[in-house]
Amino acid sequence: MPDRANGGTPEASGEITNLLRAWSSGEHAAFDRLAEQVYPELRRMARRYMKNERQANTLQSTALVHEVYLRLVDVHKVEWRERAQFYAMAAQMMRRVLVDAARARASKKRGGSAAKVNIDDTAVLSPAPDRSILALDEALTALSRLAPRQARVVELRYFGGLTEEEIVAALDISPRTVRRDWDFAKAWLSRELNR
Amino acid sequence: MNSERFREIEALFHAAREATADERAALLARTDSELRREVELLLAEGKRGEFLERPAIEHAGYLLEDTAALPARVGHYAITRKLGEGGMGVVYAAHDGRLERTVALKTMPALANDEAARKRFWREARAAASVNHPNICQIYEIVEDEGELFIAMELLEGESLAERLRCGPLSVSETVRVGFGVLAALSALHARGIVHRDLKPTNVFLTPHGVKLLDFGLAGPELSLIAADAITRTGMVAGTPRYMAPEQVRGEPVDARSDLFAAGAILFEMLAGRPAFAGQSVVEMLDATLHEQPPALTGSPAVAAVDRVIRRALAKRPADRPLSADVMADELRKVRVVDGDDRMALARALTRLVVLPFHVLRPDPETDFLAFSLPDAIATSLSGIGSLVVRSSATAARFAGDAPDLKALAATADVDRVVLGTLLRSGDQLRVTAQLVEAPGGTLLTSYTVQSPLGDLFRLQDDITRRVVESLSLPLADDVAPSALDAPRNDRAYELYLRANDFARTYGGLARARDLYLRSLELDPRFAPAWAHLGRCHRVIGKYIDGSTDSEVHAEEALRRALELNPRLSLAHKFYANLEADIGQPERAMLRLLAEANRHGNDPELFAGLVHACRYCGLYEQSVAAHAEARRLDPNVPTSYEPTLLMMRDFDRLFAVVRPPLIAGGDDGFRVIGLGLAGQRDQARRALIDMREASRLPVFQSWIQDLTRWLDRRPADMLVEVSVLSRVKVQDDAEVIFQQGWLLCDGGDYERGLRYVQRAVAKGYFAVPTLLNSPQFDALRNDSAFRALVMDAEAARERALTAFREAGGELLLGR
Repeated sequence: MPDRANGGTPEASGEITNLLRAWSSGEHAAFDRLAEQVYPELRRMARRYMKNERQANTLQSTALVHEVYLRLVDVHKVEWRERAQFYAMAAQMMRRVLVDAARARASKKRGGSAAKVNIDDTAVLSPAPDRSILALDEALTALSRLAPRQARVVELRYFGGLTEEEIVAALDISPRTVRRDWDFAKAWLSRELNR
Repeated sequence: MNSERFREIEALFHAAREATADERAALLARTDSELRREVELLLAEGKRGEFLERPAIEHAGYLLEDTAALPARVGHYAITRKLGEGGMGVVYAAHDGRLERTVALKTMPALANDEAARKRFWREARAAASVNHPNICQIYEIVEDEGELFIAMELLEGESLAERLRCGPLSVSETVRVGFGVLAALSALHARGIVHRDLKPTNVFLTPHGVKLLDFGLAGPELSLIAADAITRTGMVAGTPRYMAPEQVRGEPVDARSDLFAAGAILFEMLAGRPAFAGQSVVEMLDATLHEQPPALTGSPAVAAVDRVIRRALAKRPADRPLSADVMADELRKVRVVDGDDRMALARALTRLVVLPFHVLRPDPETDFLAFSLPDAIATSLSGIGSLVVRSSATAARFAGDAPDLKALAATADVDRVVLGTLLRSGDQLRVTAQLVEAPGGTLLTSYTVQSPLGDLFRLQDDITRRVVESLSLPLADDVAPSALDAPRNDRAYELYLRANDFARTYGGLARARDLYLRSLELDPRFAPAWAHLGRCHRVIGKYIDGSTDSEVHAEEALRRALELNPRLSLAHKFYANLEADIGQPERAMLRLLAEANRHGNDPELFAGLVHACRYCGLYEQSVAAHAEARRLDPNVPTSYEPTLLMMRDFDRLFAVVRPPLIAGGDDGFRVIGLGLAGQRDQARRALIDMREASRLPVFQSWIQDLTRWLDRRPADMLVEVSVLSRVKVQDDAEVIFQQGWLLCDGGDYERGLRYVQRAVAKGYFAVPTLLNSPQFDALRNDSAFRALVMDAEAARERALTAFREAGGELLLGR
């Protein structure tokens, strides 16, 4: 169990739990307030994860949204469907966290000291340089206009690290649909990015 | 794009993916060309396996790191971001403003204050920078900036093998491909006298342009010093010792072969998805490196073939490893990855299990036989399970006692699971407690107590077997119930059978065992295992002990009965194959064993049998390969490898044979003959004297006498004594007859020699290569009878070879 001392206080946890239940039962306004609370926590934990990662600690990245959930939500008061929806929201936040960080970097570089960096795509250690996450974000947004569900599946799996089961619960679709959506959206996005 | 068009594309994409290849072609052919092109493009994209497969945080997490801490520039390099951090320093991505290229820049902070290390570093860096090879990460230059050293090198696209391994094991074909890359790189390094010393998955990079090796020669010899020093201090080692060769662990000099050991460990990890040497602590891991073998891998013939290469590379002594990276790559090249399922086959590590003799808590003459025969029966029923390899009862017997040494068991008997048990009789009840323990750690995995009436031994045995299977958490496919065909129908008969098994362990007990099997079969004539054992008793008694004239007929009849009752009874097939080799049908024996091995390829005794059967067929290379396969599965399984080497006249390898620790004594007859034929008669005589002292069976005494006469060059006195022993069937063994003929010819008695060799071939010993290559037969080369004999043997050997290939032997044994 994570220690609550560093994370949400019991009061905050109660508030978040209420927000989650409200959102889950259809109050769209609750989403933004929920996001406000989750975004900084997720970013903090992601940073900590990266630090551990650098020390070759084999933390499971998929555990990130689970951990945020355990820290912020009173688990005894929510049902499994609400939990799935929380994961879905957290996946969306994770996408924002990474996209925001990539934007911040890009702007810093333009004005920063290490100017004139021309990233040569054939010689990059990590398969995802700053701009690729931005390009993916754009392509995913475009896809969501044509096929919102398929785009959500990508968001949940790629950004949230959700398992197939969790995606099934969050979107209320069959496992087969999850797999088909994933296969198709992946192929689609891959083609968009390699055009 | 409108959404209607989009739906069309999506629907066709799924339809095409879920169709068979033929259906897909038909489907796409019916579609308009623009739509078809769209979908074909998407289908091709769908094959980009890696894209999006790992969560975003793993790809893009670095974006969240604090960029303020980065140095702005080093020399003429502008730092753009941090790529990683390891024991040796930090790696940055940097831009070379002069050459307009992006590089990886590695800091070497450890060297800052150590002048000697600095000098060594420069020396090695110069050597490393001189290597230019497609599988090696190119070093561009060494930069010195304000007293700190940096290496500028090729920036790679892709991921390290360590990262890849986190997603699970690789298929055989992927493993082989990466293996080639690593070995090609090692070959280039070794050619320049550079030993990598720190080969590990984090240093192997998988890029779209192939494998790239990093960090060679730079870790330097200080690594071993760090290891020895730091382990004692903190239990931790800077870097990982997981891929170190035993000589590195011991702090002994390293050479190219130490890198081959690491390459073997990496190949193992790719296939198995787990490290070759593991442990709860570094000390345990190093202990495993020094003393244990990783489990054999199974899954497909190609998996087994790669595993054989791995095993040679992981030999504890450098001298037993492949001679060079090129030789190891050649071995890997021989692995045939057959298209289709095999290409993607994943390996499974076999669980190695021994069932030790049970400990009798209160001696009781009525039930003591169960101490051996109950665990033996459990081991036999467990050995049918696909991902288990069960050690023989002979091995188990070596570790009897109330407190087995689990470390010795893991290292010497090569096991990772041990079944222990106690037996207690009270009244007409029998109480058995069985435990499943992990070795060498000693973790108790399950403990189970059964109490049953004395009369119900089979249920007792069956209960324990099932419980062990449950606790081993084997793959689902292995969840096999013991064959109903093997269940006895009569309790008393089963007890007699178990008693007989206890006697059948020694030559002296065989006759009593035979009688007990017969009594058991009177009560339950449908119990196949008893028939099989009875067949073995008849054969062994006739061959080595009393030479009763119709022993072979009885043996064959019993084995036939066993197989009629249960055609899949592995035990019966193994015994039958031995008999077939005796009675001049080595090809049938070979095919029988190949068929069994194709059914369950992890029974070492089947391959041990093939060593024998292939040799009788004159297929020496295949016999050697069968030996390698048998030992891969069980390093202690007895095989007749030595006579094969003798027949090949490969005296160097014959003299170098080191018998595994658990195979006691053995006889040195083949070594004696080898020494004599190689002209080392004095050494042969000494070995013979030792043999005479060790041997107890009368039949061996007469053989020793003949060998003495041969060494004394008295062929006329050889094989003349008509003793009781000449009735023993071993004198009819085609191989024995051949050797006698061979030695007679060596002594110059060609007339008798030829007669013996003729008899041997007629009795099913197709020793063509030996007949063609031995100088002992040179004087007979123009003899028409000899030539006819060679032609006969050649034809028989050819037939056997064709049959071997048709039975899938090449795939099974990798040749």
